[in-house]
Amino acid sequence: MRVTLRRRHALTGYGFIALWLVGFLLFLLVPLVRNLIWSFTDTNMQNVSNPLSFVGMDNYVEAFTIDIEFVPYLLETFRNLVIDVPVILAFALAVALLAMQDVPGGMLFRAIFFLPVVVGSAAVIGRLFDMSGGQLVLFRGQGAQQFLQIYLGDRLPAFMQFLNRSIFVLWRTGVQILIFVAGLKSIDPALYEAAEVDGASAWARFWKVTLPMLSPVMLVNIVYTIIDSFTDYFNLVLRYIRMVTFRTDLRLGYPSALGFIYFIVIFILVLLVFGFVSRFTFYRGER
Amino acid sequence: MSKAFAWIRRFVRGKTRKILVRAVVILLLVDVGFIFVMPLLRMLSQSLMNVMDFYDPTVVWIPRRWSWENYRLVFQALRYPLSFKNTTLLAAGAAVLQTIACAIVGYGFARFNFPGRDKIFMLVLFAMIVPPHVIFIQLFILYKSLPAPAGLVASPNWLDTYLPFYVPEAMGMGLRGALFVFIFRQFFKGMPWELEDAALIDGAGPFRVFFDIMLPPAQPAIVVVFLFSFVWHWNDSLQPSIFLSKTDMYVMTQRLAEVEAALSDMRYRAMWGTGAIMTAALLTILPLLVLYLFTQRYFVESIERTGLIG
Repeated sequence: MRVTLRRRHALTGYGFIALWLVGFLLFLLVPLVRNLIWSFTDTNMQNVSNPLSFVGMDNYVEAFTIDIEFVPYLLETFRNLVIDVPVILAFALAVALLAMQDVPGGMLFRAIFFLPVVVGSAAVIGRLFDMSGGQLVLFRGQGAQQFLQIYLGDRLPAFMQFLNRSIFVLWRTGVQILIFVAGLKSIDPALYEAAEVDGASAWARFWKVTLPMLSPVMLVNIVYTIIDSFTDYFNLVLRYIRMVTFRTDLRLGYPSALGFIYFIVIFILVLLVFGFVSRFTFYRGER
Repeated sequence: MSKAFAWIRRFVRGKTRKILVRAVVILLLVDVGFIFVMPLLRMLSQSLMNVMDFYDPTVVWIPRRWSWENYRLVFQALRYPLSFKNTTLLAAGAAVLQTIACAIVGYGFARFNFPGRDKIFMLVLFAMIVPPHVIFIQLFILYKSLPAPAGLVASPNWLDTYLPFYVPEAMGMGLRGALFVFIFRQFFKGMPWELEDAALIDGAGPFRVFFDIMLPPAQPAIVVVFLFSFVWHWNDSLQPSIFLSKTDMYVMTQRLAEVEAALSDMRYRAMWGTGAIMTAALLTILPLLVLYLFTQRYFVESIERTGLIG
């Protein structure tokens, strides 16, 4: 009796997730494996229906030795990631903390802060910043530009680009803000009270209570941000893969190899970050 | 740092200090709010400008020669009524199916103990980090080989139909499906067992328990996932551009890309200017803004109760 009940419980569980498993196999795992197989062939648009002709590691060798664009794009993506992730996280945390403040019109500000979730479509906002929209109003005047020119000289255009970029990056913080707000709400107020009684200043409370309690959420956010920027519409590698796919030589094996290299890179990076950051996360229930 | 604070503290005390802190907070709120609202306002202001205003250095925010011309032009160029209908059909259908499917799957992961559950859940996390770009060639070939149900759609296979956006979504996959499964699992994990146990003892089957007992309190999570899914499908430009090639199936982002491509031609650019692109972008997200206007309160509140991080 006991065994059958348990078995029935397990079977019901499988019943709930069965659909997803089928979807996972059909729309993700099989395409991914086929992509891997194709990456060892020289398939192109003309011979898709023919049996695959294997060329060994040729596509991979080409990606790293002959292709002069792929590796630089990959490195550039890495560089952007290293700059973007801390900026996005710090900004999202600051906004989440601000959004929690109880001030007149707080509702309005909260509504505004979640705008990026709704409008933060790469397709639209990207267009906006490609146009003049990205120029900071502050630096539109000639005076400010000349002033900066004195200090920065030749580096002025790069600096302006950096400013534009950082504003653009802030638009990718919507989900992270939401996750931080949820995390902040879940911190036990008793912890703050205890810290206050012990004489901790607001500054100390932030570092000694808020941050440690927020570390699990931080982990979620870091991983999410990395994945998000790796699958971003403006990601250089993805743009390049798309371009190669629709290039006139119609090769399909080569972009498959590029895609797979890229996927492996993301996979390893996420594993590394997860392993590294997990060591610094703090769970309250743990000893 | 703390020395500076102490110095400030000595001079500013009690009520004055409280007011000062508040002023700083409000100032920061306005600042950050400005960053998010500014591009939208800029879009709006430029969409109302006449082309000449772009060559007039004295015009910054307020158009000098107000004009609805951009809207008239872009409304036609986007084929707005048609693409609005198409995009709504795609996004709403996909979002409804995805929300239901992900709730079911998330519940399965949260509440049942079966061999291999945690290993299978690792697959959910795995699915999250596969960029859609890596598999789109294979998906294209797959959808091309799958026969479409006869009579329902005009196309012989899944291409040029919305099936590639409905079927994977109805299985809890599709655009960020794994993320939604994760959210629902976290949510259901945090719910108390008592109600469920009571219903099970009363003899309700597991699926009835799910639909009658577990779903109603899950409303906040459902709203959040539905909105995310709707917005992301609405804004997605990669998948439609690959799976939809017939122009009467086009969705908003495809039209937007078309308009932009047409306007990148210098001759048209000189005639219509940046204003037209801004108008097109604004019209593309306008339905989302309206939707957000009505749901934002619910949205902001519900995300705080979802226990996203459980």
